[in-house]
Amino acid sequence: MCTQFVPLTKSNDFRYILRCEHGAIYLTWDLVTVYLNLREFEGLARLLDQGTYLAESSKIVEMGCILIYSEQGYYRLWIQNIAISLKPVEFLILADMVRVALKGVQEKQITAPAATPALERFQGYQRTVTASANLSFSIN
Amino acid sequence: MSCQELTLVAQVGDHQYLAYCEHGSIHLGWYYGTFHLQWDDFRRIVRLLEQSVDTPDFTQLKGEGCCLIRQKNRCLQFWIGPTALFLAEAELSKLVELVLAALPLLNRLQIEGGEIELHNISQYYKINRLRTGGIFGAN
Repeated sequence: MCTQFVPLTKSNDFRYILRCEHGAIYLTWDLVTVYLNLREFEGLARLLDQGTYLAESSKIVEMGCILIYSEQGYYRLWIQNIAISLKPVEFLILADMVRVALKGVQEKQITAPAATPALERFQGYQRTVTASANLSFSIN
Repeated sequence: MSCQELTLVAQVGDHQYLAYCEHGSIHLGWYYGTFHLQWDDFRRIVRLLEQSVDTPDFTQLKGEGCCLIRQKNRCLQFWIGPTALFLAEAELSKLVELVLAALPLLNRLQIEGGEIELHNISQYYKINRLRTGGIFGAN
C-alpha cells in the first residue's frame, strides 16, 4: 500500500506526477491516473520526446507505450491499458511535465525498487497524497 | 485533486475495483490505471454498459460522453471523455459485473451521504467478503 508520495511536477490540480515510497510513478491527467515503474516512465519520456518532432501521421512505440500522431496535430497516447487523447498544446504540456518529473527523479536520486513486477506496485488503493507540489511545473 | 481516503465498494480482482473517495468521486481502478468519475459520468457509463449487455454484437456503442468500440480482433476500447480503457473481450462482462454490483450501494451512499454511511459501506463490504469471498462470491 502506498502512503507516502513525493510530488514531481504539477500543472494544475488535475494534472500532476507523484512518486510513491515504492518507487512507482503516479501520472494523473484529468480524470485518469496511470501507474508506471521508473523504467516505463523513462520509456514514456523518450516516447514523448520523439513525439515532439513528429510532422506527419505516425505511430511510435516504446516500453509498452504507443504514441499515435495524426496530420491534424492531435495525439493519442496509450500507456499500457489506458489511452489519453491530447490536443497539440496538451501534448506539449504533458511532455514537459514528464521531462521535469524525470529530471526531478534523476537529480534527487530517489531509489527505485529493482525489477518489481508492475502489478505488485500498487497493492492498495488507500492513499495519502501530498496536495501541493514542491517543484515548479516547468524547468524551461 | 488528491484523495486521502478511499472506501472500497466492489471488487472483481486484485486490481479491478470501484471505490468512493472523500471528495465524492468514484474511482474505477483497472490494472494500470484509475478513472476518477463524477456521479453523472458514472451514471452515463452504467447506461452504456447496460446497453452493451442488451446488444452484445455491437461494433460501436455511443453514450453521453462515452463510447465502446470493438476492434477487429474483438478487443474493446472504452472511451470516457478523452481517455480510454483497453479491454480484452472477456473483460467487458467483468467490468459490467463490477459496475452493476456497485450501483445499489453507490446509489444508497449518494442518497444518505456522510461519514457514517461510508463506514457502513465499508462494513458491508467486509461482511460480504467474509461470507462469500467477496461481493462477487467466489469468482
